[in-house]
Amino acid sequence: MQQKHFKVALIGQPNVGKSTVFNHLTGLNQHVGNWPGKTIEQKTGKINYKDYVIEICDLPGTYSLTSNSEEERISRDFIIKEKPEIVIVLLNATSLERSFYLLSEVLLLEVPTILGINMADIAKANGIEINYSMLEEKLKIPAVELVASKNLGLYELVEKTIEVYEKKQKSVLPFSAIKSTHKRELDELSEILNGRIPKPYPLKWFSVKLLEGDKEITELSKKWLKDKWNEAHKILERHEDAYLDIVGSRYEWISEIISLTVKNQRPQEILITDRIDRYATHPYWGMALLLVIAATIFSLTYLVAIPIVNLLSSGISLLQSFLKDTFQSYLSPFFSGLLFDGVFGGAGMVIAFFPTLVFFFFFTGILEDVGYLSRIAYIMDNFMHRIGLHGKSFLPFFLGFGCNVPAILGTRIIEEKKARMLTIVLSPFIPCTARLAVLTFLAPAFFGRYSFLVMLALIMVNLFAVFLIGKFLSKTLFKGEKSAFIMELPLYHMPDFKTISIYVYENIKSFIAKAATIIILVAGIVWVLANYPSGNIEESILASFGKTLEPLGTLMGFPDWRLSVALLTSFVAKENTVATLGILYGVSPETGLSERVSSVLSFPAALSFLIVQMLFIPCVASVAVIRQEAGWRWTFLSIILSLFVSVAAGIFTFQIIGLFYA
Amino acid sequence: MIDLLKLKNNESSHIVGFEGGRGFVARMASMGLTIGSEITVLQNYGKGPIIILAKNTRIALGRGEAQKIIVEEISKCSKSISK
Repeated sequence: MQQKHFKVALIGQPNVGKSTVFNHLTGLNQHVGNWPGKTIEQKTGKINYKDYVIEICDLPGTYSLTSNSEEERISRDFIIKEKPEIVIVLLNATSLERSFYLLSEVLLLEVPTILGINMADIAKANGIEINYSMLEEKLKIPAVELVASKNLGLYELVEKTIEVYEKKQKSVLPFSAIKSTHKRELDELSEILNGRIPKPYPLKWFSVKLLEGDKEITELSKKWLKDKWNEAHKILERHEDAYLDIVGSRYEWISEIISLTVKNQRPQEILITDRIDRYATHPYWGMALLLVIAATIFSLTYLVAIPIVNLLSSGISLLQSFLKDTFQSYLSPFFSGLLFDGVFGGAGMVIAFFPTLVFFFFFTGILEDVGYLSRIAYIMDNFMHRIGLHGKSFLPFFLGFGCNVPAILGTRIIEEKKARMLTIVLSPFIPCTARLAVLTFLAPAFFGRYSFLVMLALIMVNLFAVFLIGKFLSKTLFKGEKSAFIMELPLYHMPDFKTISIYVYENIKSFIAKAATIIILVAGIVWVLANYPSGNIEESILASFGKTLEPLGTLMGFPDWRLSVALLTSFVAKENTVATLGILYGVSPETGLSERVSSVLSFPAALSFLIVQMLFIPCVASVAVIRQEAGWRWTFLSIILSLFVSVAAGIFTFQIIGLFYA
Repeated sequence: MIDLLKLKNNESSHIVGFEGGRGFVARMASMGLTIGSEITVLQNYGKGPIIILAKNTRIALGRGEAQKIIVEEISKCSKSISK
């Protein structure tokens, strides 16, 4: 039998469990990319059910469909221009009244709509009773009860979707688009617009949005109305307050529906969420809890991941030497070196890096899914204000301790461009796992039993750098009004492991796509620089470059060019520092490299070297995503900034401590 | 009429107006805050963002944003949440 294809849009406010629904509907049969020309994620997936192939597009989570944010413009443009056959609106059963607002905006577009009412179990546990048949009767659209995390109701949702698709019924706005006090103006605008706006735009929606003062629609009207614009403009000018009647009419309808269909049995009860939040968002207890949680995550990540990393690394080097021995007789020495030492080495580094990232994303995935991540933003808001940012910017920083790449990608949650750019520029100063790995390798050799204290101090230096640079930039380059902090704190709930696994999988996949390929490429290039022309690194291009940097190195206390070169190769990936030192000093990390390096460096020089290493220019992968997210100008600024800061900090450390040490 | 920051922990009131532009009002409306809505302050420690409860939703608001929300004085309509 012929299969029937059709398109469905999935839309919902943040915290309605939209990604859980999407993941359970499509499984791994999904594609994650970007909206054309945008840095906003686009997720599409396919459902094969009976004779149907349903293509489902997960629209960005938004509270409304204004033109005030890119996410909202994307969502409404998709519904208007791509014309999905069905729009599934997801609502949160625990706050149905609030989440109805987005529904009222979707209904205004008059497309076939279905409701999915998620988290029905939490609502029931909290004494909220929803009368589904009454709801369907009043709205004249199907409403499906869902507990997506337990896979309940999803089958029915798909069935209803197909049913509505087969009926091909047109939907009609079930409420008045505006209160009677401004009804006349809306009709007048409609009349002016009628026949003058091009096809995909629905007239009713367009008129309401124009009267609402929607920026994008106002611009389009100017363009399309031409000489008729004056007429419309006059109406708009005289009735600037009309948007209150539009919003008011929506909420009047919403409260009418809610009063008929929702009963809250225990409205006075204090929820578990509020009990937890008494501590979790308390100015002091909350901070203490955050510290404990962060410390637990990092220690668990390292405790579990490091043995696996070590196992992987030795496996990879075994494979590397095996491949080299087998194939090098067929290849020129230069080519086999490039392939097995350069490229394969780079690939090995990426693979060895995986376990740490997997565990880190797993834990942050849990925090996000249970609803704690937004509390972190809340707790850190006060502190972040001092560097001209707000709490949301702390979340990318938190991810940055794992890897700077997802941190930079994670800045997408920040709405304002300026705050987002500042967060991107600051993110590379967060010490990532790769830099911490170098630190854990070198510090014990340099500082013996004090190494733990020194490591802690060095991490503090990085955070202090973030603070100082943030404060400086927010007073200069990013001067201006502080951005608004408005964020929903969802109810806490049990984590859904399918959602978390997909979160880990997607993050790792984007790390491979965006970072890994570049790391391997640049690893190859650096290998060539280090081996050309003679194959002896001491005579290579890289060495001669390092030697020209020697005067600068001396200021930072480096006894020879090898240390500068090691730093330069850390550009490929931070953990390269150790490997390069191994090659340059001719001692492998396993056979006493750290002792060798510590014998060349004095105490102030060692400290200076580690500080520079911790603050040095972002790795190639971070640079690549900075460019993708922010463009060349910011990338350039970020490189220059970290180069300057790291070298200045190195010189300062060596010169000042040298005074006391000598 | 007072701004929202004047409310203490667990005090409730009703929104009577906003001191922000259209964009701010639209954003508030989309999150369930409109004129007439009941609003309870869950947390206000005198500094840092506050947490409010409106339409069964918990929302964190910066102090600057909270200041733009005008509510009824609570002497008449105090309905603080019981413990």
